[in-house]
Amino acid sequence: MNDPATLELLGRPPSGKAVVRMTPKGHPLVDLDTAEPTTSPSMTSRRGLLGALGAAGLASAAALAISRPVTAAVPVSPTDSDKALLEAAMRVELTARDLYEEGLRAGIVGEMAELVTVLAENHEAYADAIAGAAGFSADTRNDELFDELQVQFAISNVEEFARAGWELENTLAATHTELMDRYESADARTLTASIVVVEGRMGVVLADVAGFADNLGRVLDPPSQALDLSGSDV
Amino acid sequence: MAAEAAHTRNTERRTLGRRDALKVGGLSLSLAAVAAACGEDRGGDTAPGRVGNAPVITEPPSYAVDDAVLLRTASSLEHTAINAYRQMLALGALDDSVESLITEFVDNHQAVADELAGLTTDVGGEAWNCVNPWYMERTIAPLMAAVVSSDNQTIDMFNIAVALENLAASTHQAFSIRLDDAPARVATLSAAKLESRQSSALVINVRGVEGYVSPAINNEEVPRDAVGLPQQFALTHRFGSIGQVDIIAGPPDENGVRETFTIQIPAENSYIYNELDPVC
Repeated sequence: MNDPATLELLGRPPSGKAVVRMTPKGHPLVDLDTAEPTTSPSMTSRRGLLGALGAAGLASAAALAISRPVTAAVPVSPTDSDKALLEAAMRVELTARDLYEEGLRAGIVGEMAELVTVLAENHEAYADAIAGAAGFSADTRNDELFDELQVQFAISNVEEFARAGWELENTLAATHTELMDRYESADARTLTASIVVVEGRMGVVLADVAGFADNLGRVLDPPSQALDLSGSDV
Repeated sequence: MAAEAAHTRNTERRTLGRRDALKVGGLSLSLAAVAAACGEDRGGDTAPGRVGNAPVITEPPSYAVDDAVLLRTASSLEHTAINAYRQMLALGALDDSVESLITEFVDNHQAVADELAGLTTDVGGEAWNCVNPWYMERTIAPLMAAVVSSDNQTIDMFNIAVALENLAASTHQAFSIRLDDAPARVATLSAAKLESRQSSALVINVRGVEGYVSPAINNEEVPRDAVGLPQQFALTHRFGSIGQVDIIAGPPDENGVRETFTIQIPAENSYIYNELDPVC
C-alpha cells in the first residue's frame, strides 16, 4: 500500500483558513539583459519600440502615397456647391407634389386620383431623399413655379391635367439631367440618376392618359426645357 | 524499508512535480514560439485548400476600368439589344403595334450606340460597335432558344423586350454616376431616361391602364398573368432600380415550371475592357 503524498501546511490560524505561502520563483529562466547595451536606451522600452514602429509606419504610408498616381477623387457627400443645387431641386420636387395635390382638390377622382396620388408621393419621396442627402429639411417649395403652374393643375379635366403633368415631368427630368453635369459628389449624382429615370416613366404614363401615346416621338423624346436653377429664388 | 521507499518516491515527485512540468512545458513553448517567429519563409500558400485532382487556377488579368471601358460596355449593350430585337422580329410572332415599337427601339438604340461611340473616342478610347459577348452567350442565346421552343412566344418576347429596356436603362443609370467625363455622364443619363420611357411605352402599349403602376411601389406583391408570369408595369419602382431582373420564359417542363433567367447590369466579368479587340 502506497503512502499518501503529504500535504504541507504551514499552520492554521484561529480563523481556520489556510495561509498562502509565497514561494520565491528564483532567478528568471530567460535572461532579459541585452548582450550589448544599445546606444539609444529608448529603443529598449515598450514605448520606445511602439514609437519606432509608428514612425516606420508613417514613413511607409508616406512613401506609398507618393508612389501612387494622383487622381481627383469624387467626394461622396454633397459639397457646398451641390447643396445649393440640391436645395433648388428639392424645392422643385415639393412644388410638383403640391401641384398634383391641386388636381386632387379640384375634383380628380377614381383611378386617376390613385395615379395622381402615386405621382405626388413619388415627388415627395424625391424631396425627402434630396433633403436627407444634403442635410436640410424638405419643407419649402418653389412658390414662383407653383404660382406659374397652379392654374394648369387646379382642374378636374383628366386629359388636360395629364397634359400639364406630362409637361411638368419632362421639365423636371430635363432639369435633373442638366444638373448631372454640375454635381460634384457621388451622392448627388446617384440620387439624381435614380429620380430622372422614374420621372421619364411618369411622363409616358401621363402621355397615355392625355391621349397622345400613339405619337411615339412626343412620348420618347418629348420637347422639354430645363428650369434655370442658378438663381437664388428658384 | 518502507519508509525509505516512500522517501524515494517523494524525492522523485519533487524532481518532476506539477510546477516543474509547467516550467519545462512553458519554457519549451516559449522557445518554440521564438524560433517560429524568427524563422524565415513562413508564408506558404494562402489560397484556400483544394481537395481532389482539380486543375490549376488561372488568375484573370487585372485591367483598369476607366471612362472608355464604361462607354464601350454601354455601347455593347445597345448593340446586344439591337441583335436580340432583330432575332425577335425575324420570328414574326409580335403583334403589329409591338413590332412597330420594337422597330423604333432598334433605331433609337442604334442612335444611342453611335453617340456613345463618339464619346468613347472623345475620352481617348476605341469605339466598340459590337455586341457584348458575355451577354450574348449567357443571356440572349439561352433566352432566344427558350422563346423559339415556347408555347407563349408573344408574351415571352414582350417580357424580354421590357427586361432589355430595363437592363439598358439601369446600366446607363449606374454608369452615369461613375463616369468622370461630364458630357458622357449627361449622355448616359439621357440614354437611361430614353430607355426607361421605351420600357414604359411598351408596357402601356400591351397592357394599357392596368400596366401603369406596379403594386411593388407600395411594397405589395406583383400579380401574375394567366400562365403564372409576373406582370409588367410602366412605373416599377419609386426610385430607379439597378437591381437584377428575372425573366421567366420558354415552355413549361413536365411539372409546369418555366425557366427563370436572371440578368444584371454589367460588372467586371462583362465589361468591354480597352484590351479587348472587337468581335464583329
